Amino acid sequence: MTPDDPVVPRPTQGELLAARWGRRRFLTVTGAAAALAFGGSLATADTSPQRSRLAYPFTLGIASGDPLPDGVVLWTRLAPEPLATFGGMDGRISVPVRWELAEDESFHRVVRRGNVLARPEFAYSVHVDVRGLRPSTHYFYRFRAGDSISPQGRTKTAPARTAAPASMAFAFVSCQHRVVGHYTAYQHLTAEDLDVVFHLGDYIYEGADQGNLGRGHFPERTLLTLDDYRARYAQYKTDADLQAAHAAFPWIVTMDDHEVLSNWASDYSFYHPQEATDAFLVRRANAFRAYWEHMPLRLGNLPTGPDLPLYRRFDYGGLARFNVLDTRQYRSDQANGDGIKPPSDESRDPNRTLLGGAQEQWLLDGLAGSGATWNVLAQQVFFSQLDLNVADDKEAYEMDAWDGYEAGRDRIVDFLQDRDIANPVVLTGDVHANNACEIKADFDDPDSATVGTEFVGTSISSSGDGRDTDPGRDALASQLPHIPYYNVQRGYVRCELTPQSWRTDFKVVPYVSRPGAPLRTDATFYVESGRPGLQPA
Amino acid sequence: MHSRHRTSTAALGAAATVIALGVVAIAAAPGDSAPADAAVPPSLELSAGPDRLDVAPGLCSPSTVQLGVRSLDAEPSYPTVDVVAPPPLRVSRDTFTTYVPTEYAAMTPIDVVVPGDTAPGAYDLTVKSGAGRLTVPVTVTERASGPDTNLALGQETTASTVGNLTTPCGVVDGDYSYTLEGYNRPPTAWADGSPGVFPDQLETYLARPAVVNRVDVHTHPEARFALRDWDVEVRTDAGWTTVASVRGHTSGGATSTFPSVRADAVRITTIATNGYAYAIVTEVEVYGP
Repeated sequence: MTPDDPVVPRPTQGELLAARWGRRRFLTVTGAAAALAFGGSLATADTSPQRSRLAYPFTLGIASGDPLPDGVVLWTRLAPEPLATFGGMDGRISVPVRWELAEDESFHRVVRRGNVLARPEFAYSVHVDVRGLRPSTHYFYRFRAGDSISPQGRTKTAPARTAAPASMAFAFVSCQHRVVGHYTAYQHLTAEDLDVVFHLGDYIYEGADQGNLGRGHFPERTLLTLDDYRARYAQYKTDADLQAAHAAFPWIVTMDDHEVLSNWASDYSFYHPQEATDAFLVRRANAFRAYWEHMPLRLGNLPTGPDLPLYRRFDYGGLARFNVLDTRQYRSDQANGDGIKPPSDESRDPNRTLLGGAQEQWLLDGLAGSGATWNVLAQQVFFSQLDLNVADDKEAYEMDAWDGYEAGRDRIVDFLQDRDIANPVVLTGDVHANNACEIKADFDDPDSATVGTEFVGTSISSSGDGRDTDPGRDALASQLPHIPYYNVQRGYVRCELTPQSWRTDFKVVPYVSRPGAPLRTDATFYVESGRPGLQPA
Repeated sequence: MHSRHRTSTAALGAAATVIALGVVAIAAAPGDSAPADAAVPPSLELSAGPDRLDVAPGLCSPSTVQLGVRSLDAEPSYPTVDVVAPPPLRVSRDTFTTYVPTEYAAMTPIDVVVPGDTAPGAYDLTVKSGAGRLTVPVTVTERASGPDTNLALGQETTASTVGNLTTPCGVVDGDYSYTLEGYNRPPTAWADGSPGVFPDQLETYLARPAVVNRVDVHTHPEARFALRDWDVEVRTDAGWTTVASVRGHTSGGATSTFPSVRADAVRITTIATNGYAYAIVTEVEVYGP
């Protein structure tokens, strides 16, 4: 991988999206490396670069993710024609990909390199679990396939488990419906100085909608098959702003509903009962497989059919513990037929669960066993009570959110309070709006203890151009004393932590219907360690 | 937690009553020459429901076949299935890749169409995966004819923009309702995709040139969603010509009659609604004398 090697020119985004089904590229590769395994053992099969007719394959960019003190996952996928079947690869023959990771941007100090096979079974995606790295360290990485060299990315390992970091910074994002908006927020996010980015779900949307921004969905049908989901991820990942944000930081991702189908719940389709569970599980298996293929996840997160092991934990030394949750796969079906409904015996059934028994116990164990200053739940749906009925004597709650799983929420809130868990902070996506919430011991009693803090982050693009205020929401203010802030513009949330305080900046853009919107900080809140609740800047 | 039911009965669900399974079992031949680094091809069972298909001419007249794939191995797999359609057959997918369980078949719907001027005939759709192969006989049926025949029914229709969960084909499906896309259910109407912006255009191409003198346009049954003003144009050898204008319409259908003219296409140009941001058309019908 020297600068003198011929490099295949990188096509423009327009050229890439002109590709369509049916166009195939037949490539010839000989002497394919035999390394099939993932992980560190890959470094053994270091074959010489293949000379082939492989067109520029790094059209979906690169990524890194799931940083540990000693390792990080590097990701790319070969897709000369991103929207074509198998990304324009032949679908039969595996292709060797070289990767290298260096301490410097010029790749003079390469510390790890190796070969990995991009295999058709995984849509020519590559997941390299690089280990043996130093903690709290920036690294640079790139890939090579045929004569093509990928863009280079920058990543960062987590601090040592025993470290006491003086600070860390991260952003969290969600909901990037490409049809209705440009990813301007990612342009601004890329310019931040961050240790890591959390994506809380709705990375893709599953519909056939075309919109009127020239960013219509491909394929033009509701996703069903594995090739449908692969093509949709490929289409999303051709976005240059999204690629840049991946290249700039390691990401930790989790999914919400639209990675599969709107408002699915465990074995239940949005189309339940027309779509029976057996049929839905095929769709779910296809969606999960494509998700893993396109995210910087470890082999340990590879789905087995319709089962995806996704919830996991990340420690940033003694400063913060991140519990990354899956609130879709194990939940009870939405109560009261889903939608915004008054509470009922069904929605308040103590047997209902949003996390499932095993994940809930795993979460509680991880909270009880944490020595971290900040204990974070990175998850999808609104955690705090959000009464959407404007009448004082009536209630209406979003049955898809924690309000539809009150008993499950109570179990967590009670645990946080009873065990005196240090500084709980919940991070949330899903609702395409910013909110800052105080988690109350009893949401119906404003004078009850504040147990923790919830920051709800708005969408990157979903719902299109937003607005700073919303009359309907303003009318609810008197019954939401625990939610002093909201905003419905697009953007991301930046958080900066020290052992003493947590700072959250809600960063928004005024429009996404056209590119180039400027960024502004709409609100800033602090949380002081040992003192639950929001402190305005 | 809810237990999963994975019986084959549940797999087919409501569709089971209409699916007569043509099943062929394939065991991968041992010693098949596969690429050295590829997994052993899975043994699959291919099925089709219905096991043969009738298709009426017209690109907006799809017939749907559900292709089933089941793994006969102990392990589920993710095979790629190719759907080979000889001309004039066209298919909504010519290939797909899917998870296939062992306990039941993964079902993938394929829409089959032929152009409006296709003569009656018999063709074979071929479904292939690895060593497996399944043939689905397709019969192209005769077009309806006679003075009362709606010449637009099932014929190719396009629009300047398309609203979410609607389709231009919904205006030539013989269904006057305004029903959005659902699970395995096509939309039955069209709305434009550019709210508040007019005009929009909706064009239907007849199977072959015909003498026409009447165009019925149906919009939403409720005035608040109904189209108000539109022009009807037909395409003749001399190009597009306006044959009728409808103004002040409030709901449901409106018939426009005009002197007989030989045309091969009809265009509806929407001009205004009764206030709704989107132009909605639920059906367009074209008749001759």
